[in-house]
Amino acid sequence: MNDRQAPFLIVAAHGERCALHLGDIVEVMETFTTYPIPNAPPCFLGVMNFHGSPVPVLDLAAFLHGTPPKGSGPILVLDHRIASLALRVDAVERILFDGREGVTDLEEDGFLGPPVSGAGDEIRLLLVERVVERLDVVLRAGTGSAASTGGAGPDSP
Amino acid sequence: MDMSQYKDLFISEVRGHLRGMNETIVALEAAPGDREGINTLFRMAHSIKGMAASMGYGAMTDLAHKMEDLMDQVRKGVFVFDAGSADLLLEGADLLTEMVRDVEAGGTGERDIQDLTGRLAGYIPRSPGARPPGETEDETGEFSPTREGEEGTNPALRLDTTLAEGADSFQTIRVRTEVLDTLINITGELITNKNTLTNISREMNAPILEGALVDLSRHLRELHDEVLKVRLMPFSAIADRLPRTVRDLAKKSGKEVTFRVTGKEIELDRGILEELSDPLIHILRNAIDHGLEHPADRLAAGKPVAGEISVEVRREKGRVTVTVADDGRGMDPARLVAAAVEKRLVRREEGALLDPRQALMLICLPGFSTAREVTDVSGRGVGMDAVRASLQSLGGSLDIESEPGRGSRFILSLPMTISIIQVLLVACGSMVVAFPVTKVLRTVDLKREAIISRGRRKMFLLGEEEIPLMSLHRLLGFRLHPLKCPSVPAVVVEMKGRLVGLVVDRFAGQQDVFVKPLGRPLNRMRGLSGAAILGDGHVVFILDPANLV
Repeated sequence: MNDRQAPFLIVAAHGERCALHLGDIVEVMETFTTYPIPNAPPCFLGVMNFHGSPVPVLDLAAFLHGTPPKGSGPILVLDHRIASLALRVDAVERILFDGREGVTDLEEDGFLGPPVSGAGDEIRLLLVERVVERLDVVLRAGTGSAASTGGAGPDSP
Repeated sequence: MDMSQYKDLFISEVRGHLRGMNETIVALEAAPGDREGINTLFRMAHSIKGMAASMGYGAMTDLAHKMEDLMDQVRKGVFVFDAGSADLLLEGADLLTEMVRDVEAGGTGERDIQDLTGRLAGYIPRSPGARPPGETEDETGEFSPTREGEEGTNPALRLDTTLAEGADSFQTIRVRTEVLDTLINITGELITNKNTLTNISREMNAPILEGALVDLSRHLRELHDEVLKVRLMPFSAIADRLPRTVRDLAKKSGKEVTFRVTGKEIELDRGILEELSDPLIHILRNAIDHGLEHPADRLAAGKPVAGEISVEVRREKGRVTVTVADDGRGMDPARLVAAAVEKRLVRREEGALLDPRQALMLICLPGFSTAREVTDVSGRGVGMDAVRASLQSLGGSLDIESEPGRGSRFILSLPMTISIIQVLLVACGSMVVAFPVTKVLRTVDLKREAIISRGRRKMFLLGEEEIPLMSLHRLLGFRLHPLKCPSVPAVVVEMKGRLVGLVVDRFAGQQDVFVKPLGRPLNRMRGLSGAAILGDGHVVFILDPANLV
């Protein structure tokens, strides 16, 4: 049973909207520079210098849907207690102050949880912990490829 | 009187005594006539009793009192210190450790001590009254217990007394370890900032700024050296509990072990010491469980019944080596190769090419084990592959020497510090990556004609040895680009026990960097030991060559 409530941050990635707990995000950045990560899968845009700490940037749409990664768009830096990770999304739409998280079916796979009540349209919660768990598995297995890192050195949008 | 303000001091001091107690009990078991050891043990129990009484921890006081009484009997020659008394006192030390943990967590330290105190009070050795040869009773003893009514010793008062005893006491203070971590982090960030300023200075071509930066660099190096010194801790911080561990493991295995540690005073960074403990205990477990023979087998082999295990620590050119040696059955390289082939960890033809040293390193391959049965001592958890991986993540390495019938030596080589290191920067495709200088055996710039083809493999001669060449591009997951320059730069490193030349695009200099640990999820990736921020803000990954493949 989940009992965390608003505020949520509503974001868009590959035409799909999803919600994240605002408290899980420490900063939203509009511009960033990344450097390649050896042997990382294509959904990683690279690693950025986030106030002196190396933080990898994951293209959320590429991770969820396997679309080609994009080098621009806002990025959400997660609280380091969750993971040392930033998510690139297509847009940050709004903050939802009065929504409520539904019950996540722990038996069900997938990275999107139940709809967030009070969000109007059906907006599902991004299950960040599952995303990170999946990345753990992928990176431990070393399934990266040559094209994975965005290729051409320091990359500024 | 509110004693809570003295709790940290109490916990720290009692833990110090308990560490010493474990070590002394095990040492006394081997040398029961050691008068100094007997007095020390008595004194430690007495001190714990006094401190616990002053803090109002009743159960702890009573238990320590009974341990003190037992040692008093030994001290007065009523009976000789034997294995039975050692077992009881170790049990007491364990229970006291548990009580201290409870106090630290905010509890009262209360535990059921009746059974143990009863056994301590009623202890009758197998040969009461027997004294070690050459010993005479010492009525006065080295240490006089306090008289009734004087035994409560307030740790805070004792600290004041210590301060009053001599001015030297003002030269040492207790510092929380978090403060030391913060100090090294700030120093690391300053080094990154200095590298940034150096970059700017180069671009501006400003001699005054360059001069100031030379001074800044010197001061930073001094600061770095001093901060590192503060973080150094003696090896004894982890070694003092090893005798107890070895004793317990030996008892479980039904083996007799003589154990010694030398070089306990040698210092390492506390971060390294923390990480070293588990691998070291794993190697000791293996030595007891698989290395040493059972007493009957040792006798049959003409060896003393008790096996010998030693841990020797030495400092060598900015690195520290820890050697764990045993005089057990040793390992047969040919048998290891056969086992690895059977388990399909190496191909038969590859196995035939391994020299004895490389064959011994096969035990570090994941999934390799020649133990016929999994025992309670060694367990079925991490193997030597995890030991080697831990050492490599610390910037260290593992070497193994062994002789069938005569024993084995595990040589752990470690840097003295890990936070701020010197790296060799190399360009590789679109990336700049860093090798810790300690991992680089040498760099070479090979003329094309110096490259030898062996089938599909490219080799070069280093001295008289043919060294394989591998592309760092390929290892890092980039497409190969044909090299057009007349020479081929390569970094010679050790990978899986073999020397390998890693071909790079160019060398990009050496510098000190502050190693930033990789958080989750990047810390799952093999071959990366951390990252660093260069002066221009670039993030570079620090490679762990041994785990790149």
